[in-house]
Amino acid sequence: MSDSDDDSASTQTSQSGLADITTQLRGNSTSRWGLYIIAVVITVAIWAFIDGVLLGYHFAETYWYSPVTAEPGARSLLPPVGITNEFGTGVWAHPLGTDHRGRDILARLVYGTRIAIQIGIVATGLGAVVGTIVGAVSGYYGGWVDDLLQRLVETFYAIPFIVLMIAIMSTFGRNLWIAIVGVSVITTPVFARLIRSEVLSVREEEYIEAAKAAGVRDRNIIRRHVIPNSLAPVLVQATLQVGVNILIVAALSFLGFGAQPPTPSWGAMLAQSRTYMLPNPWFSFWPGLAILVTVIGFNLIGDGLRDAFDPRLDD
Amino acid sequence: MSDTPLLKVENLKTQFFTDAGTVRAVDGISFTVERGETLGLVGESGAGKSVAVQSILRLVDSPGRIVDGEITFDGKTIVGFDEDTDGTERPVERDGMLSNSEMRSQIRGNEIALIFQDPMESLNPVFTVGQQLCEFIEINRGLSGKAVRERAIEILREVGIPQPDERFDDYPHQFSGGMRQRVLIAMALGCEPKLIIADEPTTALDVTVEGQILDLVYDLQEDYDTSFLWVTHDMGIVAEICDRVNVMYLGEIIERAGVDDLFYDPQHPYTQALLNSIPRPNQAGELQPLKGSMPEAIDPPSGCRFHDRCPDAREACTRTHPDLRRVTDDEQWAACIKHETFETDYETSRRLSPEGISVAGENSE
Repeated sequence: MSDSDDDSASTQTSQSGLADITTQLRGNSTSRWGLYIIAVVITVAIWAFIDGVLLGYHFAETYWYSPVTAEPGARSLLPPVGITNEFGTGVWAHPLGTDHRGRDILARLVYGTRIAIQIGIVATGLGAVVGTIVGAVSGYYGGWVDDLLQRLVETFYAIPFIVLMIAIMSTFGRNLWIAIVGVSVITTPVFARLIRSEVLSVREEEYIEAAKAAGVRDRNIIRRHVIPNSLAPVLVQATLQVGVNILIVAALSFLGFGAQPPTPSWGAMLAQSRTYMLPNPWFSFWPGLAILVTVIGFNLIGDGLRDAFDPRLDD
Repeated sequence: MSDTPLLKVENLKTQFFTDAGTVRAVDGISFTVERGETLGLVGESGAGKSVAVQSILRLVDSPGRIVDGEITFDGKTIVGFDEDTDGTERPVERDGMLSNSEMRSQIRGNEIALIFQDPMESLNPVFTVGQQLCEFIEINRGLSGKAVRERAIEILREVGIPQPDERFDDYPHQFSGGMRQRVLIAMALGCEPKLIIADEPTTALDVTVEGQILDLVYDLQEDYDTSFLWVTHDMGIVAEICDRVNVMYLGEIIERAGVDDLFYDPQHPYTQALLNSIPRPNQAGELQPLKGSMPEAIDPPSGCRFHDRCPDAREACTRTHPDLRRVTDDEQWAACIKHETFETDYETSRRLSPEGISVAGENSE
């Protein structure tokens, strides 16, 4: 423990910015677990994207099980752990069992990762970018600009997000990209508020005054001086928000507003397994576990980032 | 070289409209900065020095506003007001005034650069020193690409940063306080302005570094022929660097003199008190600190604003507001009615108290 402390202390003076943050993240054991989890999840998601979207499940169908269609004669199988497999054979071929149509649950989980990560990261990123710009402009100018933008943000806040999402998706169609835009719309206010409060203190800094006195344009002051100095809490929130957004997407899929069957997605898997909850709890267990682990992974990183950015915890 | 002063400030009034009332931070000051000279602006904290500086660059933040006066710089009108032509009480802004975007593109950085008080806070921590220097040079000198970097490194070398091409890529936190102040001076100089306003630039530095910075400024001024407006509360720096000095008290200039006249023969009691409160090698005996503290500019004392702390105060002082007028054969001006004996009844009116200062101390509590 003391070793790693010494390390981070010495790197602090020689490194700066992101390099230092990553060092601190790796030094912290819980956030290191977060990094591992997310690294695995993202690798899986990238694979799912390449094979599922670009190659049309070519590899899955050739060398493994299709996550979309069941093989002829496939049965619903339970995993071997703890419960006797009443259906008999094929246990190790399907380590997590098969679902009500006989599709391999592991394969569906793997290919379902794509939806979760894609919406989680793209929608959060989009929301963070828009929210940062809105919040920075709002906080920097103050006055009526601030009032207008903040009232707008509050209006979005006031509408329950699930209701808003369902409204958006019923209006524009049940489509992955609409879901992404919808989630980023409900995410934007979070970031707009967060960065505004940060900008309110950053804009009083002397280097902002110095930039003004040197004749730098407002938009460049915001872009080059205000935003980079207010970004730390946004990064933390963005990481945590990915977890939240994955949950939102799962909830939407559960309600039938997300990715449409037969595209594998964790939320949809949960929704479909609802009927079989009592005889076959494993149907619901695995996608639930996948969501849980992924969200925890992002939360661990988020917490680690927050600690890394917190000057009071530097020693 | 023309004969007109580089910067001319006339009757500048900047006020802050707060909930508690109107703060008259700068209340009708006038001064000029000649080409190539260093003008000192001296006063205690709260005297309105920094607000005066912000006003010159039109950077006064809300709720503050320049309400009256005229500032001309090199033939351009930065601030100008006409008498109320539209029937309102307030003077109206003149047409020939530079617009906000003209201020930004022509004056700030380009013609008038500012060196800030705290070198620790005046550099953006997330960018390298070089990036920031380049940003300022790019905006104000119209250079681009490699030329900017070369100019930046050259100017870093001029302000005495060792190995400037390596330090160029360092972050501000890797510089010491003195080095950062040099960088700030480089940022101001890099834009080759006609006037540099230095707002207490050495306050945060220790005395050794302060000396080095002053030497540096002195040398650079000879090379670049830049005028300086040096804002400070440190009489030692004034003596060392300034040609002429304006002493401010509570939003007004109360004495203006050449630096030698000011130190050897101060005409305003406040200046005398200031000088008595600092150690000087040719003066033995105890220091006499100036008692009390400056009143709030929200409700300045009647008459002479200094009367409640002034050792020479008489009753007339509470009634008559003194104007800045020439009091010696040299260019020495002071705002104190003891020099106006023929017009006021200073000589005949009774002293406020032998210890006029302590009474004021009780009143202000």
